[in-house]
Amino acid sequence: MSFDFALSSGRIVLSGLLAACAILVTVPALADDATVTVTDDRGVEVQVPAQPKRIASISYFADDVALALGIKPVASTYMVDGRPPEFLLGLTKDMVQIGQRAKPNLELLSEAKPDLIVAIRRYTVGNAPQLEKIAPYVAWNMELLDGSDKEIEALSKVLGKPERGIELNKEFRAHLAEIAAKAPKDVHPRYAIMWGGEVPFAFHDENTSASIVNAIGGENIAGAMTPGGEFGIDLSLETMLEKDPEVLFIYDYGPDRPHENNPIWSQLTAVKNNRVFYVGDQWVETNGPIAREIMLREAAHYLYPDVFPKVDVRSEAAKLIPAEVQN
Amino acid sequence: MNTKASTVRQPSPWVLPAVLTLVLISFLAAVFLGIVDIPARDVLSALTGSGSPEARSIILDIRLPRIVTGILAGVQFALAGLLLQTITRNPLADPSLMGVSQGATLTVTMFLLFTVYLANPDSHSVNELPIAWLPPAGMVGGMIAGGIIYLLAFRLDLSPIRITLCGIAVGAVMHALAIGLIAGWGSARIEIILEWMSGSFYARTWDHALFLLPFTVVGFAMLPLIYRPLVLLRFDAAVARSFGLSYRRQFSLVLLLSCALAASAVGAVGPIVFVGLIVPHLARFLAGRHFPLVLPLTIVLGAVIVTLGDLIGRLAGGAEEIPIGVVTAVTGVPVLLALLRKIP
Amino acid sequence: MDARKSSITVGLIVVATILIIVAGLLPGAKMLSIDAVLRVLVAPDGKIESILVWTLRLPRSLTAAVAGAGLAVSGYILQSLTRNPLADPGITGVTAGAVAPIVTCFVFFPSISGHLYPFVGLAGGLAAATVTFWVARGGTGHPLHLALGGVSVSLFLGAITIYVLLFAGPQSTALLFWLVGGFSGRSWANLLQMLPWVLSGVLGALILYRVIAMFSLDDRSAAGMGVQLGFWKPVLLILGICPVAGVAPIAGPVAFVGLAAPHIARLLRPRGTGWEIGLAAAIGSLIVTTADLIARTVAIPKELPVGIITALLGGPIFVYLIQRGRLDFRSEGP
Repeated sequence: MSFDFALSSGRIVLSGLLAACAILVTVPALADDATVTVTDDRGVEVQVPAQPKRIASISYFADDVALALGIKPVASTYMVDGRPPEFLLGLTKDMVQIGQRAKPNLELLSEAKPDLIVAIRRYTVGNAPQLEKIAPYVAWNMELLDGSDKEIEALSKVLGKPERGIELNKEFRAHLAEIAAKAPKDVHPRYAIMWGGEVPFAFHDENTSASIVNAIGGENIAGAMTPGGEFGIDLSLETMLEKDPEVLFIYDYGPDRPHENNPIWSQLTAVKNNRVFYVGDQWVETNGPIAREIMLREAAHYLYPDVFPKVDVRSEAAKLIPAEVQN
Repeated sequence: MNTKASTVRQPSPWVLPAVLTLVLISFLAAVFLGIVDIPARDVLSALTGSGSPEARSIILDIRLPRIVTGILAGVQFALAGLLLQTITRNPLADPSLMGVSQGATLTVTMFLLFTVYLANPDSHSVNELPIAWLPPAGMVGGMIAGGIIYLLAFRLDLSPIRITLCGIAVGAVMHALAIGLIAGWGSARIEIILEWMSGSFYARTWDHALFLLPFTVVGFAMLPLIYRPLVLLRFDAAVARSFGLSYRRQFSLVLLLSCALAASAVGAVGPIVFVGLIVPHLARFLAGRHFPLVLPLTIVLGAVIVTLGDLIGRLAGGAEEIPIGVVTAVTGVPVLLALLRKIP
Repeated sequence: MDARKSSITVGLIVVATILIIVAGLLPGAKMLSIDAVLRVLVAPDGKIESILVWTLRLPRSLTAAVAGAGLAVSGYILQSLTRNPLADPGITGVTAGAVAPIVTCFVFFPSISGHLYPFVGLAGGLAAATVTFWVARGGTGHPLHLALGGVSVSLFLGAITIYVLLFAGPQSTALLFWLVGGFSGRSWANLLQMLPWVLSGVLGALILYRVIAMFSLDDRSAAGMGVQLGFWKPVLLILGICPVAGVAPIAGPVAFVGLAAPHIARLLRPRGTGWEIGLAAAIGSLIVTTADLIARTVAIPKELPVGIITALLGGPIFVYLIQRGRLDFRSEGP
């Protein structure tokens, strides 16, 4: 707690002192390397190295944060095999590929000798005991926008650049407010962010990407989460038709697009007006600082093409990732 | 003696030692080989507790527990299959054909649904899959399926053909319900449930092995008790009774045992199809009509097949392993077809 | 039942199905009034009510009705052909045979057009059925062989289907459809795509009802009545698989209808094989249409898979049949 207080006050010297105290208090002298304690979304207090050198990322979140801080992780899962995400400049392709996020290959992960595993909670927590044996395992939800700030701040702290994390959050909030202020106030385009497929799976308001689009004036047809429910919903076609989205963001998974064959597709306003956008990994793993910045700009352009310029994902990413890790 | 024995193929005296050697080889192969190449010297030092931390972690925390869990599960599936085939006098009986696996799948799905969705009033939390609880949940379902089949069949005086048919029917209903539940409610974590459903040793720990161990031990301990009844249950009810067997009681006992073995294994590693079906046949093929040899061979081969199947799945799939259930289903088919055709 | 009663029964069931279809136009994410439905039925306009009725609800209900009829007739033919009361598209492995190659195409060869799926399904279904029947010696052997052979083939193909879905990864939510079946988003185009396959099966069965009736006897009597077994067996087999090949690519594996509908038809004891086939088709339509209506209305704005409803409906019938000893196993025993 004292640690958080120190950070929010922004006095770096004090925070450093307190951090040192925290280390002294929480870690008995038997550890060789300095460690810090992180409480993750499981409520578990995890002892992690103070300056982890070899990060393994299950989901793209830790890749995203680490690259933004100028650190290159050693291992990463993927969403689509052989398609490293553009918003990270394809840099994940040089890391050890450990499979899908629901089933990271434990042997390959182990061989990569990580000193920290940062993972998406819902897919990995069942195998926590196995992951913990490989390296300190931190699980965050990586689903909601509120979580995004908290997760970035915490991970930057772990990676030894706490002030950069706070800065990234501040910058993002400032950009978000700026774009929201600039966005036309009289239109609120109805939209949905979804996985394609026979039955579209659309994200609720609380999900990070949907929260961002809401914040700049979009109106999510999937609405808010039901208490205790999922962060997204299988929308029936009737609901889609009734709510009639004006803009559709569809996660670009591959060449197969069965939803385009369904009978109401051509009836939707978004389709009629040519406002269906196949979007990249930053729209479904949005919690990292790079992903959400780029996603915000893309959303602004797609919602209000007259007001906001088109976004080139790679050049935006090149601005956000320090040059020393770009090759 | 020779004239009489010539019609019944005598098993070679080398069969059992040969198969035992095979166990050793497959076990060693499973320990030494994997997606990560570790030099044999490092594997040995890891086994003795020294060596690099990655090698120790891979060998002791990842490979060994999954191999041991796999062996226990494989033995249980094979034994359950042999018992079911013997007492139903149906050469094609198998836990996955008789509804036990599907029952376990259904309760696991229901368990996930109830724990993940209904017991979670906090709107911003997304609960984990309580994987540690899956084995007992699956066990309950398998036993319920077995119980339903038994009750249905009981009223028909346990005619083996109807038991089998009831098993198929109950299994099909439960399977449809389980899949329906998954499709209706489980979509955000579908990969995890599908992985379990296909039968997998992914990320199995010593806890899984410890969960299975008592069932395996009890199963072995029961074998001497049920051995004679088992031999007699191979004949139909009238013949068995004429040997003084209390047919129904013994039948129920063996059925219960095989359900417990199969259900606990399904709970721990998911429904691995065909192991229970094919292993006893392989054993019979090797042992001829020499029933006393069929039993140990079944047990040993169950371990071998599953270990090798998992090794193939680990090596062939790249970063994404092929689940053992898929490996056994695909490799089991040629055997199965040959088998089905051979049966009169 | 005499011919008049049989025709009345069939008529009643068809009317019931039509009523369900019409009633099914009302509920959904947006409830429509009867007036509104009747108005847009007569005079479609471009408004949302009209789109709901004409592009969503009507075609999907009709597709469900046609699929039900197809599955029921397929089950009837397979049961008669094998003289095995348990035969149906599911238990003979035909459905799994149609689905597995379609899923494989879907994931690995997305360039293959969806219009070819019925042919892929037909080839897969035929192959699976061939294996099952080869194992069961044309279905004339022990009835268990057919059931177990079919279930084994289904398990094998099911394992492949699940692996392909796993391989597809996060997208598998969308592919789950292939495990349960459903009619969400089925359009007129889908209906037209399915119709010829189902019609050929139903009409073929009605035309050949005498041959099918002969097959209910044993092989020797059938041969004695002048049936050329060697010719008609494969013909009927293809006839029985055709509807499934049409239905599976559109509706996925819809369980138990092919099994339950023919049995319910027989329990009603219509006048002869021809009426039995017609009745089975009508009952199949009614079951699937009803199940689909339930599946899409009980959990708005979500939809349940239709397979869960048909399983709840058909499963108990299946168990009842076995348990009541209504099934005749000629070669029961060891």
